[in-house]
Amino acid sequence: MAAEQWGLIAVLSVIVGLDRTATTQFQLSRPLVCASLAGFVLQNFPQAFQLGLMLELLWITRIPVGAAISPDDTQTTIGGVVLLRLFATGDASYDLMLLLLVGVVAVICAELSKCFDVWARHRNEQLFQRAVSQLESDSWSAFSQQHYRGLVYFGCGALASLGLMLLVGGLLISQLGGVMAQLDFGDSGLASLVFPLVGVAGTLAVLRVRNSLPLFCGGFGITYLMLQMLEG
Amino acid sequence: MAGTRPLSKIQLARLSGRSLLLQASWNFKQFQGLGWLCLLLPELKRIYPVATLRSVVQRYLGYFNSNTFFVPTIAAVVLSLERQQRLEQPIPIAPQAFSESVMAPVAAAGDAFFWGGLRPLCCALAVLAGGLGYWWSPVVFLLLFNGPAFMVRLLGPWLGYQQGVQTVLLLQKLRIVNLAALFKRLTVVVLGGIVAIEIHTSPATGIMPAVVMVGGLLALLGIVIAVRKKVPLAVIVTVLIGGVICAEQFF
Repeated sequence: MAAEQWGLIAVLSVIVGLDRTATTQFQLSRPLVCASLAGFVLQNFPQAFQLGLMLELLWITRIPVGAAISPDDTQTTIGGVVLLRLFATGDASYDLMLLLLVGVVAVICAELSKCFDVWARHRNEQLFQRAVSQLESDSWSAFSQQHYRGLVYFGCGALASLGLMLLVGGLLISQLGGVMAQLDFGDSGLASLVFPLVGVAGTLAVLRVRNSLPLFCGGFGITYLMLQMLEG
Repeated sequence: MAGTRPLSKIQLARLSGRSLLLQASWNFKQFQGLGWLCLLLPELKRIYPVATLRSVVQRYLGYFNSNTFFVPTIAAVVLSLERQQRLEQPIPIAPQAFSESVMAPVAAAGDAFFWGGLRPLCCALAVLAGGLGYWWSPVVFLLLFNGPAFMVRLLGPWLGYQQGVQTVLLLQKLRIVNLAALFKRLTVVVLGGIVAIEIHTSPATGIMPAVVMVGGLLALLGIVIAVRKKVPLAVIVTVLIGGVICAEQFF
Protein backbone atom coordinates (compact mmCIF):
# COMPACT_ATOMS: atom_id res chain seq x y z
CA MET A 1 0.00 0.00 0.00
CA ALA A 2 1.31 3.42 -0.97
CA ALA A 3 1.85 6.20 1.57
CA GLU A 4 -0.91 8.27 -0.08
CA GLN A 5 -3.34 5.42 0.41
CA TRP A 6 -2.45 5.20 4.11
CA GLY A 7 -2.98 8.93 4.37
CA LEU A 8 -6.33 8.77 2.59
CA ILE A 9 -7.46 5.89 4.82
CA ALA A 10 -6.55 7.92 7.93
CA VAL A 11 -8.53 10.91 6.62
CA LEU A 12 -11.49 8.69 5.71
CA SER A 13 -11.30 7.05 9.13
CA VAL A 14 -11.53 10.42 10.90
CA ILE A 15 -14.34 11.73 8.65
CA VAL A 16 -16.57 8.68 9.00
CA GLY A 17 -15.60 8.34 12.66
CA LEU A 18 -16.88 11.86 13.32
CA ASP A 19 -20.01 11.10 11.29
CA ARG A 20 -20.93 8.34 13.77
CA THR A 21 -21.82 10.64 16.66
CA ALA A 22 -19.98 13.95 16.76
CA THR A 23 -21.05 15.58 13.54
CA THR A 24 -23.36 15.16 10.60
CA GLN A 25 -24.74 11.62 11.09
CA PHE A 26 -25.21 11.29 7.32
CA GLN A 27 -24.63 7.54 7.89
CA LEU A 28 -21.31 7.50 6.06
CA SER A 29 -20.25 5.49 9.10
CA ARG A 30 -22.41 2.47 8.20
CA PRO A 31 -20.22 -0.55 7.31
CA LEU A 32 -21.65 -0.85 3.80
CA VAL A 33 -20.91 2.79 3.01
CA CYS A 34 -17.51 3.15 4.65
CA ALA A 35 -16.35 -0.21 3.29
CA SER A 36 -17.28 0.93 -0.22
CA LEU A 37 -15.44 4.23 0.27
CA ALA A 38 -12.36 2.46 1.61
CA GLY A 39 -12.62 0.00 -1.28
CA PHE A 40 -12.52 2.89 -3.76
CA VAL A 41 -9.48 4.36 -2.03
CA LEU A 42 -7.60 1.05 -1.90
CA GLN A 43 -8.87 -0.18 -5.28
CA ASN A 44 -10.24 -3.43 -3.88
CA PHE A 45 -13.90 -2.49 -4.17
CA PRO A 46 -15.45 -5.96 -4.77
CA GLN A 47 -13.89 -7.44 -1.62
CA ALA A 48 -14.61 -4.30 0.40
CA PHE A 49 -18.22 -4.30 -0.75
CA GLN A 50 -18.54 -7.97 0.23
CA LEU A 51 -17.17 -7.20 3.71
CA GLY A 52 -19.54 -4.24 4.04
CA LEU A 53 -22.51 -6.42 3.15
CA MET A 54 -21.40 -9.05 5.68
CA LEU A 55 -21.04 -6.57 8.54
CA GLU A 56 -23.90 -4.19 7.74
CA LEU A 57 -26.70 -6.22 9.27
CA LEU A 58 -24.86 -7.22 12.45
CA TRP A 59 -25.41 -3.97 14.37
CA ILE A 60 -28.31 -2.54 12.41
CA THR A 61 -30.45 -2.06 15.50
CA ARG A 62 -27.76 -0.58 17.76
CA ILE A 63 -28.80 3.03 17.93
CA PRO A 64 -26.34 5.90 18.44
CA VAL A 65 -28.35 7.76 21.08
CA GLY A 66 -28.00 8.59 24.76
CA ALA A 67 -25.32 7.01 26.87
CA ALA A 68 -25.48 3.65 25.09
CA ILE A 69 -22.20 3.13 23.24
CA SER A 70 -22.59 0.81 20.27
CA PRO A 71 -19.72 -1.35 18.99
CA ASP A 72 -17.42 0.53 16.62
CA ASP A 73 -18.47 -1.12 13.37
CA THR A 74 -17.10 1.82 11.36
CA GLN A 75 -13.39 1.65 12.14
CA THR A 76 -13.33 -2.14 12.26
CA THR A 77 -14.85 -2.20 8.77
CA ILE A 78 -12.27 0.24 7.39
CA GLY A 79 -9.53 -1.73 9.16
CA GLY A 80 -10.96 -4.90 7.65
CA VAL A 81 -10.77 -3.44 4.13
CA VAL A 82 -7.13 -2.46 4.73
CA LEU A 83 -6.35 -5.99 5.95
CA LEU A 84 -8.01 -7.47 2.86
CA ARG A 85 -5.88 -5.19 0.70
CA LEU A 86 -2.71 -6.19 2.54
CA PHE A 87 -3.20 -9.94 2.82
CA ALA A 88 -5.36 -11.00 -0.15
CA THR A 89 -3.49 -13.34 -2.51
CA GLY A 90 -5.86 -13.64 -5.47
CA ASP A 91 -6.57 -17.31 -4.64
CA ALA A 92 -10.38 -17.56 -4.35
CA SER A 93 -10.47 -20.13 -1.54
CA TYR A 94 -7.81 -18.37 0.56
CA ASP A 95 -9.38 -14.95 0.01
CA LEU A 96 -12.80 -16.24 1.08
CA MET A 97 -11.29 -17.59 4.29
CA LEU A 98 -9.45 -14.30 4.77
CA LEU A 99 -12.72 -12.42 4.33
CA LEU A 100 -14.39 -14.58 7.00
CA LEU A 101 -11.44 -14.24 9.38
CA VAL A 102 -11.43 -10.46 8.93
CA GLY A 103 -15.18 -10.49 9.61
CA VAL A 104 -14.70 -12.41 12.86
CA VAL A 105 -11.84 -10.12 13.96
CA ALA A 106 -14.03 -7.10 13.13
CA VAL A 107 -16.86 -8.41 15.31
CA ILE A 108 -14.50 -8.89 18.26
CA CYS A 109 -12.59 -5.61 17.78
CA ALA A 110 -15.84 -3.65 17.41
CA GLU A 111 -16.68 -4.56 21.02
CA LEU A 112 -13.16 -3.76 22.27
CA SER A 113 -13.08 -0.42 20.42
CA LYS A 114 -15.98 0.92 22.44
CA CYS A 115 -13.43 1.97 25.07
CA PHE A 116 -12.00 4.67 22.75
CA ASP A 117 -15.45 6.17 22.25
CA VAL A 118 -15.99 6.15 26.02
CA TRP A 119 -12.58 7.83 26.48
CA ALA A 120 -13.47 10.63 24.05
CA ARG A 121 -16.77 11.28 25.82
CA HIS A 122 -15.08 11.43 29.23
CA ARG A 123 -12.51 13.91 27.86
CA ASN A 124 -15.40 16.06 26.64
CA GLU A 125 -16.63 16.45 30.23
CA GLN A 126 -13.56 18.61 30.88
CA LEU A 127 -14.43 20.77 27.87
CA PHE A 128 -17.71 21.67 29.50
CA GLN A 129 -15.92 22.80 32.66
CA ARG A 130 -13.50 24.89 30.60
CA ALA A 131 -16.37 26.42 28.64
CA VAL A 132 -18.03 27.47 31.90
CA SER A 133 -14.85 29.22 33.01
CA GLN A 134 -14.68 31.04 29.64
CA LEU A 135 -18.22 32.21 30.29
CA GLU A 136 -17.06 33.95 33.49
CA SER A 137 -14.79 36.16 31.39
CA ASP A 138 -17.42 36.78 28.67
CA SER A 139 -15.05 35.23 26.12
CA TRP A 140 -17.66 33.96 23.65
CA SER A 141 -15.41 32.74 20.86
CA ALA A 142 -13.30 30.75 23.35
CA PHE A 143 -16.54 29.37 24.77
CA SER A 144 -17.58 27.99 21.36
CA GLN A 145 -14.07 26.70 20.67
CA GLN A 146 -14.32 24.39 23.69
CA HIS A 147 -17.33 22.75 22.05
CA TYR A 148 -15.53 22.19 18.74
CA ARG A 149 -12.47 20.77 20.52
CA GLY A 150 -14.55 17.68 21.19
CA LEU A 151 -14.08 16.81 17.51
CA VAL A 152 -10.36 16.30 18.17
CA TYR A 153 -11.08 13.71 20.88
CA PHE A 154 -13.62 11.88 18.74
CA GLY A 155 -11.16 11.94 15.82
CA CYS A 156 -8.36 10.53 17.99
CA GLY A 157 -10.74 7.84 19.28
CA ALA A 158 -11.54 6.88 15.68
CA LEU A 159 -7.87 6.58 14.73
CA ALA A 160 -7.09 4.54 17.87
CA SER A 161 -9.94 2.20 17.05
CA LEU A 162 -8.64 1.74 13.51
CA GLY A 163 -5.17 1.10 14.89
CA LEU A 164 -6.47 -1.60 17.24
CA MET A 165 -8.25 -3.40 14.40
CA LEU A 166 -5.15 -3.27 12.19
CA LEU A 167 -2.91 -4.48 15.03
CA VAL A 168 -5.11 -7.36 16.20
CA GLY A 169 -6.16 -8.36 12.69
CA GLY A 170 -2.64 -8.05 11.27
CA LEU A 171 -1.15 -10.17 14.07
CA LEU A 172 -3.82 -12.86 13.79
CA ILE A 173 -3.67 -13.12 10.01
CA SER A 174 0.12 -13.20 9.93
CA GLN A 175 0.05 -16.00 12.53
CA LEU A 176 -2.80 -17.97 10.96
CA GLY A 177 -1.89 -17.29 7.33
CA GLY A 178 0.18 -20.48 7.02
CA VAL A 179 -2.56 -22.64 8.53
CA MET A 180 -5.19 -21.00 6.34
CA ALA A 181 -3.20 -21.71 3.19
CA GLN A 182 -3.01 -25.42 4.11
CA LEU A 183 -6.73 -25.80 4.83
CA ASP A 184 -8.79 -27.30 2.06
CA PHE A 185 -11.63 -24.84 2.10
CA GLY A 186 -14.47 -26.33 0.10
CA ASP A 187 -16.77 -24.36 -2.13
CA SER A 188 -20.03 -25.30 -0.38
CA GLY A 189 -20.59 -21.63 0.48
CA LEU A 190 -22.02 -22.52 3.91
CA ALA A 191 -19.51 -20.31 5.73
CA SER A 192 -20.59 -17.30 3.65
CA LEU A 193 -24.14 -17.78 4.94
CA VAL A 194 -23.10 -17.31 8.57
CA PHE A 195 -22.80 -13.51 8.61
CA PRO A 196 -26.11 -12.73 6.85
CA LEU A 197 -27.92 -15.30 9.00
CA VAL A 198 -26.50 -13.90 12.25
CA GLY A 199 -27.24 -10.35 11.10
CA VAL A 200 -30.82 -11.12 10.14
CA ALA A 201 -31.43 -13.17 13.30
CA GLY A 202 -29.90 -10.46 15.49
CA THR A 203 -32.11 -7.83 13.88
CA LEU A 204 -35.25 -9.98 14.21
CA ALA A 205 -34.43 -10.62 17.86
CA VAL A 206 -34.12 -6.92 18.65
CA LEU A 207 -36.88 -5.49 16.44
CA ARG A 208 -39.63 -7.48 18.26
CA VAL A 209 -42.33 -6.86 15.68
CA ARG A 210 -45.78 -8.38 16.14
CA ASN A 211 -46.51 -11.13 13.57
CA SER A 212 -42.86 -11.19 12.59
CA LEU A 213 -42.98 -14.90 11.57
CA PRO A 214 -45.65 -14.51 8.83
CA LEU A 215 -44.04 -11.26 7.66
CA PHE A 216 -40.60 -12.85 7.48
CA CYS A 217 -41.87 -16.01 5.77
CA GLY A 218 -43.86 -13.88 3.32
CA GLY A 219 -40.78 -11.88 2.37
CA PHE A 220 -38.71 -15.06 2.11
CA GLY A 221 -41.29 -16.94 0.02
CA ILE A 222 -42.04 -14.12 -2.42
CA THR A 223 -38.35 -13.36 -3.04
CA TYR A 224 -37.39 -17.02 -3.40
CA LEU A 225 -40.21 -17.71 -5.85
CA MET A 226 -39.36 -14.61 -7.87
CA LEU A 227 -35.71 -15.64 -8.07
CA GLN A 228 -36.72 -19.15 -9.17
CA MET A 229 -39.05 -17.72 -11.80
CA LEU A 230 -36.39 -15.34 -13.10
CA GLU A 231 -33.92 -18.21 -13.29
CA GLY A 232 -36.37 -20.63 -14.91
CA MET B 1 -35.24 47.51 19.78
CA ALA B 2 -32.00 46.08 18.36
CA GLY B 3 -31.90 42.44 17.32
CA THR B 4 -35.60 41.76 17.61
CA ARG B 5 -36.34 41.34 13.93
CA PRO B 6 -37.63 37.84 13.16
CA LEU B 7 -35.09 35.31 11.91
CA SER B 8 -34.83 35.12 8.12
CA LYS B 9 -34.92 31.83 6.19
CA ILE B 10 -31.16 32.07 5.70
CA GLN B 11 -30.59 32.47 9.43
CA LEU B 12 -32.84 29.45 10.06
CA ALA B 13 -30.86 27.48 7.46
CA ARG B 14 -27.66 28.48 9.30
CA LEU B 15 -29.22 27.18 12.50
CA SER B 16 -29.78 23.85 10.73
CA GLY B 17 -26.18 23.93 9.54
CA ARG B 18 -24.85 24.52 13.05
CA SER B 19 -26.96 21.63 14.32
CA LEU B 20 -24.76 19.27 12.28
CA LEU B 21 -22.10 19.82 14.95
CA LEU B 22 -24.50 19.53 17.88
CA GLN B 23 -22.79 16.48 19.39
CA ALA B 24 -19.17 17.58 18.88
CA SER B 25 -18.67 17.78 22.66
CA TRP B 26 -21.08 14.99 23.68
CA ASN B 27 -20.27 13.79 27.19
CA PHE B 28 -21.74 11.60 29.92
CA LYS B 29 -22.70 14.46 32.25
CA GLN B 30 -24.38 17.11 30.11
CA PHE B 31 -24.91 14.96 26.97
CA GLN B 32 -25.57 17.51 24.18
CA GLY B 33 -25.63 20.42 26.67
CA LEU B 34 -22.68 22.42 25.36
CA GLY B 35 -23.64 21.79 21.73
CA TRP B 36 -27.20 22.94 22.43
CA LEU B 37 -25.92 26.21 23.83
CA CYS B 38 -23.50 26.72 20.91
CA LEU B 39 -26.45 26.14 18.57
CA LEU B 40 -28.46 28.93 20.20
CA LEU B 41 -25.61 31.32 21.02
CA PRO B 42 -25.29 33.31 17.74
CA GLU B 43 -29.01 34.10 17.75
CA LEU B 44 -29.10 34.83 21.50
CA LYS B 45 -26.26 37.30 20.90
CA ARG B 46 -28.43 38.98 18.29
CA ILE B 47 -31.50 39.16 20.52
CA TYR B 48 -29.89 40.25 23.81
CA PRO B 49 -27.40 43.02 24.57
CA VAL B 50 -23.98 41.98 25.85
CA ALA B 51 -24.82 43.13 29.38
CA THR B 52 -27.62 40.59 29.83
CA LEU B 53 -26.31 37.84 27.54
CA ARG B 54 -24.36 36.00 30.25
CA SER B 55 -27.39 35.57 32.50
CA VAL B 56 -29.44 34.31 29.51
CA VAL B 57 -26.73 31.84 28.52
CA GLN B 58 -26.48 30.54 32.10
CA ARG B 59 -30.13 29.48 31.90
CA TYR B 60 -29.25 27.04 29.13
CA LEU B 61 -26.02 25.79 30.67
CA GLY B 62 -26.50 22.16 31.69
CA TYR B 63 -28.04 18.90 30.55
CA PHE B 64 -29.71 18.62 27.17
CA ASN B 65 -30.46 15.51 25.12
CA SER B 66 -32.84 15.00 22.25
CA ASN B 67 -33.05 13.58 18.75
CA THR B 68 -30.37 15.23 16.61
CA PHE B 69 -32.67 15.64 13.60
CA PHE B 70 -35.40 17.40 15.58
CA VAL B 71 -33.14 19.60 17.69
CA PRO B 72 -33.12 22.48 15.13
CA THR B 73 -36.94 22.52 15.34
CA ILE B 74 -36.84 22.79 19.14
CA ALA B 75 -34.15 25.47 18.87
CA ALA B 76 -36.28 27.50 16.47
CA VAL B 77 -39.26 27.40 18.84
CA VAL B 78 -37.01 28.42 21.75
CA LEU B 79 -35.59 31.35 19.77
CA SER B 80 -39.08 32.43 18.77
CA LEU B 81 -40.07 32.41 22.46
CA GLU B 82 -36.88 34.28 23.44
CA ARG B 83 -37.66 36.97 20.90
CA GLN B 84 -41.22 37.32 22.15
CA GLN B 85 -39.92 37.52 25.71
CA ARG B 86 -37.45 40.22 24.74
CA LEU B 87 -40.27 42.18 23.09
CA GLU B 88 -42.20 41.74 26.34
CA GLN B 89 -45.01 39.96 24.53
CA PRO B 90 -47.05 37.33 26.42
CA ILE B 91 -45.62 33.81 26.00
CA PRO B 92 -47.36 30.51 26.84
CA ILE B 93 -44.25 28.98 28.42
CA ALA B 94 -40.75 30.15 29.30
CA PRO B 95 -38.24 29.25 26.53
CA GLN B 96 -36.02 27.16 28.77
CA ALA B 97 -39.00 25.38 30.34
CA PHE B 98 -40.22 24.56 26.83
CA SER B 99 -36.91 22.98 25.80
CA GLU B 100 -36.75 21.00 29.05
CA SER B 101 -40.29 19.71 28.70
CA VAL B 102 -40.14 18.65 25.03
CA MET B 103 -36.61 17.25 24.68
CA ALA B 104 -37.47 13.79 26.06
CA PRO B 105 -40.76 13.19 24.17
CA VAL B 106 -39.23 14.50 20.94
CA ALA B 107 -36.18 12.28 21.50
CA ALA B 108 -38.41 9.23 22.01
CA ALA B 109 -40.46 9.87 18.87
CA GLY B 110 -37.50 10.98 16.72
CA ASP B 111 -35.25 8.11 17.77
CA ALA B 112 -38.05 5.58 17.20
CA PHE B 113 -38.60 6.97 13.72
CA PHE B 114 -35.06 7.60 12.49
CA TRP B 115 -32.99 5.00 14.35
CA GLY B 116 -35.62 2.36 15.12
CA GLY B 117 -37.67 2.50 11.92
CA LEU B 118 -36.12 4.31 8.97
CA ARG B 119 -32.48 3.31 9.30
CA PRO B 120 -33.01 -0.47 9.68
CA LEU B 121 -35.36 -0.41 6.68
CA CYS B 122 -32.92 1.57 4.52
CA CYS B 123 -30.02 -0.69 5.60
CA ALA B 124 -32.02 -3.82 4.86
CA LEU B 125 -33.01 -2.51 1.41
CA ALA B 126 -29.39 -1.62 0.66
CA VAL B 127 -28.20 -5.09 1.71
CA LEU B 128 -30.96 -6.67 -0.40
CA ALA B 129 -29.87 -4.66 -3.45
CA GLY B 130 -26.22 -5.39 -2.67
CA GLY B 131 -26.99 -9.12 -2.40
CA LEU B 132 -28.45 -8.95 -5.89
CA GLY B 133 -25.17 -7.48 -7.09
CA TYR B 134 -26.07 -3.82 -7.35
CA TRP B 135 -22.85 -2.06 -6.32
CA TRP B 136 -24.62 1.32 -6.03
CA SER B 137 -26.74 0.12 -3.10
CA PRO B 138 -24.78 2.29 -0.56
CA VAL B 139 -25.79 5.38 -2.56
CA VAL B 140 -29.44 4.31 -2.45
CA PHE B 141 -29.14 3.80 1.31
CA LEU B 142 -27.70 7.29 1.80
CA LEU B 143 -30.42 8.89 -0.33
CA LEU B 144 -33.25 6.99 1.34
CA PHE B 145 -32.11 7.85 4.86
CA ASN B 146 -30.88 11.39 4.32
CA GLY B 147 -33.90 12.53 2.30
CA PRO B 148 -36.30 12.58 5.27
CA ALA B 149 -33.48 13.61 7.63
CA PHE B 150 -32.67 16.68 5.51
CA MET B 151 -36.32 17.56 5.24
CA VAL B 152 -36.76 17.51 9.03
CA ARG B 153 -33.51 19.41 9.56
CA LEU B 154 -34.35 22.14 7.04
CA LEU B 155 -38.13 22.49 7.24
CA GLY B 156 -38.35 21.83 11.00
CA PRO B 157 -36.76 25.14 12.08
CA TRP B 158 -38.89 27.13 9.64
CA LEU B 159 -42.04 25.41 10.91
CA GLY B 160 -40.93 25.76 14.53
CA TYR B 161 -40.21 29.46 14.18
CA GLN B 162 -43.55 30.15 12.44
CA GLN B 163 -45.77 27.96 14.64
CA GLY B 164 -44.01 28.40 17.99
CA VAL B 165 -45.18 25.99 20.70
CA GLN B 166 -47.97 24.75 18.39
CA THR B 167 -45.24 22.75 16.59
CA VAL B 168 -45.53 20.09 19.28
CA LEU B 169 -49.18 19.50 18.32
CA LEU B 170 -48.18 19.30 14.65
CA LEU B 171 -45.56 16.67 15.48
CA GLN B 172 -48.19 14.70 17.39
CA LYS B 173 -50.52 14.82 14.38
CA LEU B 174 -47.81 13.42 12.12
CA ARG B 175 -47.91 10.15 14.14
CA ILE B 176 -44.30 9.38 13.36
CA VAL B 177 -44.22 6.58 15.94
CA ASN B 178 -46.90 4.71 13.94
CA LEU B 179 -44.84 5.25 10.82
CA ALA B 180 -41.82 3.81 12.62
CA ALA B 181 -43.84 0.68 13.50
CA LEU B 182 -44.80 0.28 9.84
CA PHE B 183 -41.15 0.62 8.80
CA LYS B 184 -40.19 -2.09 11.30
CA ARG B 185 -42.72 -4.49 9.78
CA LEU B 186 -41.42 -3.71 6.29
CA THR B 187 -37.88 -4.35 7.55
CA VAL B 188 -38.89 -7.86 8.66
CA VAL B 189 -40.30 -8.55 5.16
CA VAL B 190 -37.08 -7.29 3.55
CA LEU B 191 -34.99 -9.43 5.93
CA GLY B 192 -36.94 -12.45 4.67
CA GLY B 193 -35.95 -11.39 1.14
CA ILE B 194 -32.29 -11.11 2.14
CA VAL B 195 -32.23 -14.66 3.54
CA ALA B 196 -33.97 -15.92 0.37
CA ILE B 197 -31.30 -14.27 -1.82
CA GLU B 198 -28.45 -15.60 0.31
CA ILE B 199 -29.81 -19.13 0.26
CA HIS B 200 -30.68 -18.97 -3.44
CA THR B 201 -27.23 -17.72 -4.46
CA SER B 202 -25.30 -20.03 -2.11
CA PRO B 203 -23.42 -22.80 -3.99
CA ALA B 204 -24.64 -25.22 -1.30
CA THR B 205 -28.23 -24.79 -2.49
CA GLY B 206 -27.35 -26.29 -5.87
CA ILE B 207 -26.15 -29.48 -4.16
CA MET B 208 -28.83 -29.94 -1.49
CA PRO B 209 -31.51 -27.23 -1.75
CA ALA B 210 -34.02 -28.58 0.78
CA VAL B 211 -31.36 -29.29 3.40
CA VAL B 212 -29.84 -25.80 3.08
CA MET B 213 -33.23 -24.11 3.21
CA VAL B 214 -34.54 -26.00 6.23
CA GLY B 215 -31.13 -25.91 7.93
CA GLY B 216 -30.78 -22.20 7.26
CA LEU B 217 -34.17 -21.36 8.72
CA LEU B 218 -33.56 -23.58 11.76
CA ALA B 219 -30.16 -21.94 12.28
CA LEU B 220 -31.88 -18.57 12.04
CA LEU B 221 -34.34 -19.55 14.75
CA GLY B 222 -31.49 -20.82 16.94
CA ILE B 223 -29.55 -17.57 16.54
CA VAL B 224 -32.64 -15.49 17.36
CA ILE B 225 -33.00 -17.45 20.61
CA ALA B 226 -29.27 -17.09 21.37
CA VAL B 227 -29.37 -13.32 20.79
CA ARG B 228 -32.42 -12.99 23.04
CA LYS B 229 -30.53 -14.97 25.71
CA LYS B 230 -27.85 -12.22 25.46
CA VAL B 231 -25.14 -14.42 23.94
CA PRO B 232 -22.62 -11.96 22.42
CA LEU B 233 -22.57 -11.70 18.62
CA ALA B 234 -18.82 -12.26 18.61
CA VAL B 235 -19.31 -15.66 20.28
CA ILE B 236 -22.12 -16.70 17.91
CA VAL B 237 -20.18 -15.68 14.80
CA THR B 238 -16.91 -17.29 15.94
CA VAL B 239 -18.57 -20.59 16.93
CA LEU B 240 -20.57 -20.82 13.70
CA ILE B 241 -17.65 -19.93 11.40
CA GLY B 242 -15.33 -22.28 13.28
CA GLY B 243 -17.94 -25.05 13.16
CA VAL B 244 -18.52 -24.68 9.41
CA ILE B 245 -14.77 -24.61 8.64
CA CYS B 246 -14.18 -27.72 10.78
CA ALA B 247 -17.11 -29.47 9.10
CA GLU B 248 -15.67 -28.54 5.68
CA GLN B 249 -12.37 -30.23 6.65
CA PHE B 250 -13.82 -33.45 7.99
CA PHE B 251 -16.76 -34.09 5.65
